[in-house]
Amino acid sequence: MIELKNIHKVYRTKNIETVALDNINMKVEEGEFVSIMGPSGCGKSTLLNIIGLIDNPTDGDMSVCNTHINGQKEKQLAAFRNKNLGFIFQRFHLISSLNVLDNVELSLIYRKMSGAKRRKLALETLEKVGLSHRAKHYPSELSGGQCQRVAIARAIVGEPQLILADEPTGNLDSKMSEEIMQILHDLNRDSKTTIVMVTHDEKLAKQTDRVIRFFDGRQVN
Amino acid sequence: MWRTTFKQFLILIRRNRFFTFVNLFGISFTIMLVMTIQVTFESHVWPGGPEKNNDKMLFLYRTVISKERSNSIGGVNQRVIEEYILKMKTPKSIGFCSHSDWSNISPKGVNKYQVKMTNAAFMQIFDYKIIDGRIYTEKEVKNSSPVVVISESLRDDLFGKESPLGKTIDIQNTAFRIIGVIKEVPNNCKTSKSDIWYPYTIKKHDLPMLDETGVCSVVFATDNNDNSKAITEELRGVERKIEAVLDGEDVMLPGPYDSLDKYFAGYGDPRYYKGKTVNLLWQIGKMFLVLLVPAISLIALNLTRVQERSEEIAVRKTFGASSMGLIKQILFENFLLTLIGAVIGFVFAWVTLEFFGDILFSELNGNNVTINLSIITFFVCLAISLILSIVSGFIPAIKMSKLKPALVMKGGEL
Ligand SMILES: Nc1ncnc2c1ncn2[C@@H]1O[C@H](COP(=O)(O)OP(=O)(O)O)[C@@H](O)[C@H]1O
Ligand SMILES: [Mg+2]
Repeated sequence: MIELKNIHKVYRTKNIETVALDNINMKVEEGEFVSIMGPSGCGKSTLLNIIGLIDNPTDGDMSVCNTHINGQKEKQLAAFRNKNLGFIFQRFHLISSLNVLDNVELSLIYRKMSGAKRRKLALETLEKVGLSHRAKHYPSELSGGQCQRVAIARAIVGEPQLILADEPTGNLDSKMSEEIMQILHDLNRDSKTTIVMVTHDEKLAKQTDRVIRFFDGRQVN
Repeated sequence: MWRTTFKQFLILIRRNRFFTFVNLFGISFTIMLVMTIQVTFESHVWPGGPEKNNDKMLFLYRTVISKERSNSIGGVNQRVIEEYILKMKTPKSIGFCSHSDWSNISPKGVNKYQVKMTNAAFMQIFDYKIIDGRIYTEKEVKNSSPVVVISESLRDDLFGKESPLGKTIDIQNTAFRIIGVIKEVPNNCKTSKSDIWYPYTIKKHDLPMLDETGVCSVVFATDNNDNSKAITEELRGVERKIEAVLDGEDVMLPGPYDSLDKYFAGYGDPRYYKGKTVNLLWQIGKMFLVLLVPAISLIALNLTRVQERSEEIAVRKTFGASSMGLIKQILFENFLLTLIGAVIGFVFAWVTLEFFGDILFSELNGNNVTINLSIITFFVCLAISLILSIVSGFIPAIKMSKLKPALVMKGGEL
């Protein structure tokens, strides 16, 4: 599903070089639920962004969803993300000017699909996360947990093969975190969706198939 | 795609009322400004009324006579007209006039009227609409017959609605017989506008010397083949002929100007008039400056919006929007906004010209100046707003589409 070989990521700003990822090699199998742990600033988000094709590695070789990533054009990458990947972020990143339903529809907008079909799919997905009664609300009118459930609906509405979740429960209390984890586990079990999740929470990490630990841009096992 | 984008646009303007308002205000104000400038320009250069055929007219209304360091600038000398200009061969006909005014004291108060003393050709070159009687003939001018043609409004002031033909009127100590009434001339027809017309031969006075400037203006009618070049050539010849009998003076009879030249040259020193091409470019340049201000503020506004929308842009990219698609979306949003602004601006301009035109532009006041908000003007404005929308949207759109989602989508704490 995912294969990373000798991935390096160096951030170059004016006079400092930050090595965010140092020679990362890892594999994630189809249908796996993997969590990534490590202290703040050790490169977890960088890694997830690189896997999610919204950031480029400085060096290295990788394939995502069994596709070798090698010099594809921006437009092709956008289409690839749209079709295969779903993203969940700690800070939700819902579009505040759109209502819940329109937010969920977002990734479908960039596909060839009729408005009615889009609407239907989005409503069904909202149903799954238990928020269909909030379809016409705006993100500012929802609680954190509800926002994250909308964000999950947005991530899964296009039925991606791979979900990338960057501290999806980082902003939530433990009860809401449990709810979110439940949704992710159901998704992993029922749809065989591969999930890579960054978390700070040992307890949540232990519930996943495998934990990958990072320290200072390196994998430690 | 477009339908979704349109929906997005509606959401955008509903959720960003202030931004929308400022944007619309800028655009519509610009359109209004451009249109009013355009309309006033048109009303000067193509005033319609008796001057509706002014593309077949050339105007000479200034004279510069210089010798060594001294020079005098004025109107055209009547002696020059009688002895030289009327003898020109190339114009189809040659009209001329001088101006004065007449104050009529009546129980109603003092009214001032414009007076034009003309030759017969002057009355024929302009397309005066005669609503009663006739205009004077060449013979009447030659014989100094005391006949007068008056405007509709003067008739109304003096006689009400009844026909004044055959009645006598005392103007400037001369008793005139009224022979005709002319439909009111719009105020922007400055060259032909008057209330009273009578033969120039009535007032006897000594003609000025050849080395003096005068008080007359001349209008040449060109023939159907537009022989303005030939007329200009011949006028140069007239200058040389006059100089030949003078004592070293330099004579300049500027032009003759067509209506565009006349508009640009105005009453400034004709020696420094650079021609209509230069002036037209200047005009267009100024127009662009007028457009530049809102364009820049729109760019600035849009750039701020880009900043505000960076999260949205990053999210859209993450979920599969391509840069090209985003550029299209932003330009489309901008275009719709500009379009709405253009329509509002058009309405603004109409209201301004219709109700406040007389305050803003003195030459438009008066009863019968028709203001043309033509469909052409509208399309010109539409084109301008299109340019405005692309200019103001393009830079922000490019900037927005270059945004790297990874910079915004930091999963954890920053
Ligand atoms: N855009 C950037 N420019 C420069 N340095 C960055 C940038 N993004 C992240 N970094 C640095 O890279 C390292 C890893 O960051 P990140 O992947 O966000 O860590 P984590 O998610 O594990 O907290 C940090 O030292 C951070 O300061
Ligand atoms: Mg992070």
